[in-house]
Amino acid sequence: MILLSEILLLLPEITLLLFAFVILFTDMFTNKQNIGPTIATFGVGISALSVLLMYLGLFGSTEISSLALANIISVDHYSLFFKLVMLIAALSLCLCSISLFDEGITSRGEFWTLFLLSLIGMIMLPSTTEMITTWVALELTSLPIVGMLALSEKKYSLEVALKYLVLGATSSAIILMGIAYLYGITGSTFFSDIASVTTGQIESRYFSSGSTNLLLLFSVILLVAGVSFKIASFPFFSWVPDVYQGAPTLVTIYLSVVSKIAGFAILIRILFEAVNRSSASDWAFFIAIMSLISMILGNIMAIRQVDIKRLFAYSTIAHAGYILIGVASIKSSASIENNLLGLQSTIFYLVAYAVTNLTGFLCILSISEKIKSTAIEDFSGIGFSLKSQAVILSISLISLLGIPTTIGFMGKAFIFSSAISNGFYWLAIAGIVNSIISAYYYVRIIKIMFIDEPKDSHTIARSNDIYSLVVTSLGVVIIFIIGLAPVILLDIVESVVNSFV
Amino acid sequence: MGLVSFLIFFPIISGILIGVVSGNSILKKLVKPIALSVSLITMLASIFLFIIYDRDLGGFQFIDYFDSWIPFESFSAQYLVGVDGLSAPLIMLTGILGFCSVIASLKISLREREYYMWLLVLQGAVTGVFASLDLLLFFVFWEAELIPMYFLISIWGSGRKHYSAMKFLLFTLTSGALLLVGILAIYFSAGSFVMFDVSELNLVGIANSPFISVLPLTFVFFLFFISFSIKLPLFPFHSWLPDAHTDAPTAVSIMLAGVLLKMGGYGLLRINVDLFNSIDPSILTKYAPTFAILGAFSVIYGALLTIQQTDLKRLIAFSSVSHMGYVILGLSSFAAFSEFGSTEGLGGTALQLFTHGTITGLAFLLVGLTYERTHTRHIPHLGGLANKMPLMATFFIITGFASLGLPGLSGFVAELMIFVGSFKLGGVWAVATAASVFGVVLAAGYTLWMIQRTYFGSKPTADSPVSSHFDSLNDLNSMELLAVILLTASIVIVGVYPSVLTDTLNLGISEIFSR
Repeated sequence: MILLSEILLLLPEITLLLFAFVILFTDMFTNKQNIGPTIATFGVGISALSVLLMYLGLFGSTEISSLALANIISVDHYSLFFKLVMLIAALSLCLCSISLFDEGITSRGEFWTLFLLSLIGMIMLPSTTEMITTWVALELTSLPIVGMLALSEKKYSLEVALKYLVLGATSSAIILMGIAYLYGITGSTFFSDIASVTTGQIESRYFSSGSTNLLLLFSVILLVAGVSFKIASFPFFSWVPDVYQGAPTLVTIYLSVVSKIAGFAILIRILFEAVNRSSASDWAFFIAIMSLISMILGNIMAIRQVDIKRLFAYSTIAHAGYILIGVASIKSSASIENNLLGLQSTIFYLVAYAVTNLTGFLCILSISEKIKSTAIEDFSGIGFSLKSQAVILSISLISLLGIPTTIGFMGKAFIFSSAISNGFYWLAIAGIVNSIISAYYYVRIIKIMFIDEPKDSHTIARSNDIYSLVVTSLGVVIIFIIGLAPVILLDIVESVVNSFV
Repeated sequence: MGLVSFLIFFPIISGILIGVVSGNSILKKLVKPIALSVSLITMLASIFLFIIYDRDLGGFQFIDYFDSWIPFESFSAQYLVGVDGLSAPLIMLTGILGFCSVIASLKISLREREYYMWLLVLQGAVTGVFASLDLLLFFVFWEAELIPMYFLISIWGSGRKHYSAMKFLLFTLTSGALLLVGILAIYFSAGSFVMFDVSELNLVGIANSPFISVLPLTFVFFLFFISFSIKLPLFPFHSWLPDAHTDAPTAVSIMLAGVLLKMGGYGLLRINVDLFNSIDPSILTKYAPTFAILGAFSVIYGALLTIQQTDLKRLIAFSSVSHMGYVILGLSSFAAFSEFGSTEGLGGTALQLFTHGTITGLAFLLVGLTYERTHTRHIPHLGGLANKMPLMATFFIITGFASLGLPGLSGFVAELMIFVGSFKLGGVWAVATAASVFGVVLAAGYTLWMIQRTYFGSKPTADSPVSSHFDSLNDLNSMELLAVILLTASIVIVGVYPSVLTDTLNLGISEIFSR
């Protein structure tokens, strides 16, 4: 029996759904260009507000670790936290696109409808506690994105959409395969049941605790490999550069921030709640390998790029690698404290990455809209003509690089220390070496913007993009405040983790 | 906020304010006076700190503590700064050279506000390195100095400035990366970032924590050692230094040679010697002979490279490589302490850090001022400058003599102490010292030859770019004279009466033994 109070726990998702239809209907009666993003802003804002109220315990049931809807959805601090982060990121995207008119997008009403539908999948993901629901939510995130990619007038939009569709379908199939194996071993698709079998609390015919179960390990690897499509890391990363470059910048930002957080949120949940305990040290090694390859590949490939969106694509692959260092350090050792350090540092880094990448990408969006180009060499001399955007972009690049006093440094320090405390010395050292490599291309962009003379005096249209300036300025404030006083975010992360354990 | 925090954050905050508050034409004119007064106040405060440091009490003083910087259960770092006998002179050095470098850059007209912002931020960050008593904080300041340096070299530099700036950045990042791994390894071994016990706060430092090494301790030792050697720089990690120096603007060369290299030396003393001595002295003892040989080699190799240089700035940059070799030699003489005992060597090392800062800082200042007038640093194009600039020539000669270790000037005291300290250990040290003494001869050679070719001898020939404006060369003006006299005075005072510094430095060094 599903109670009304349980339905109310899904209010954020329901709000988004309502607003998706509102946009679709409004679009039939009006031709205004920015009606879509305006309504979407309201929808996402209301949804974020309801998540915030639920997080603070002011709304819904006071005990929010409750499982809603037949135990397949868990609305706890962990999922609410990620929902909030994703909704805030989405909110800033909507807000910025009110004033930043991205020329490439056609059928704006449909575009924003699809955006909200995909967002529903994203914010569903962290709270799913059952494999099939997880898979459905994953599909719900991917399919609308295919539409969003195809609704662009850009040259390669169809190619890009097809690429995303095919690889996405492949990765979904692989995830389903993993779920099927897991179901075969444990006889359940619920995370809690899977966990009680893998820890040996419940007897299962196909599982004997105490020894390494290769089939279990294989199914975990399938799951992780499938999710790697979402988080844009090795092995399913080959779509990233093409799609990031060919997509409208709005979609690129959405993919690189919201989609990635959602992927990591569910990955952590699966690994922590469902399949960590018996086979922990085994999969940790595979994730470490994934992380290593992602970092090296992302950073090496980024060096030679001439297009800033493509460069950022490789940079996000590298950052997925850094986050996977933290994931690999979750629960791989026997002592409880170290496990929490791994979990805390991963969540911290995810937030750091989200803030920094969002800020940087929004600046790129607003700069590239003005100079009508995303080639890095066209950014030369931007530091003189578009000073505030260039400064903000540089700060976020410095944070991505991980220079102290920024949030990025704190994130990296926590990630590397959690790796070291869990015995992954080689991985920590590889991560640090990769940070040095990344310095080359991040600093090169700063150099081009501030030190090189402008190649030609492009006429820069002074358009009204006050929203993006406000949003990115807020991002910079967060970058520095948390970089100098990480305790603010750590307190939140700690409470999130404690509710999760 | 105590005096030390003031010294760190006053330049940083005023620098950022100078950079951000802009546009206004009235304020634009005031940028130089404001920057000058900020650095003057910082210098006076740093000298004041050195004077009021209580020598009877010793230990860490002027401690500022803020415990909830990162109060993570399994990862806790704190804001903890303070000075002891070792760091107080270096902070004073930073203050003095910071002031001199602002004077040296009064002629800058390109993007002024940004320039002074970066220069002041740089000064604050370096002070932070010397004052940090928490390893993570130490690292934060260590890396924070990078971005200002990158911009200072690549915007206001000359020659292949982008190449040099990027090279500097990558070398320093590598050194920072090794440092970070080392720091994290120490943290997870000892469970604390606090370097030393701070008794009045009941803080237990790394040395007295239960130490369960997570990585082989020798490996961690060399992580730190290589990291600091890159910064020092020691052969074979020195190749960034000549490039960065040559292409940096004068003021940045002063800061780079005078203070930034000292970060490496200070790190070696503070962590490799001080901290590791209290954790496990056997590593130091074991590798001390190697360090002695490495130091001696760096001295000779650097000196031989220096002789070949034809660019004034490059010449002095290479001489720094040679002089930093003495630091390693002096340090190695301490490393064998547990067997024989040599505080002179370590005292000399600490003093060498200070004296090299003032001497080379002055040398770069004078070279920069010369270049400003002649527009070339190519030695064959120069000559006979003493006729037009007698004051400058006088000070140049004093610097040269100090650099080659003339008695009565500060360079002599430091080098003598290092030689005495290391020679009396015999064996490898005797050989290394003998070789290093030969480095002084080479130093005399390149220094005197350089002065002879530039300031004396015949006037530049017609094919030199200087010949056209040779007659209109001016001597030092009053502001420049102030900076030059300030540095010269410190060289002479320390040379004549070394106790003014060594008393304080020895306080810091004796504590290394007592820990």
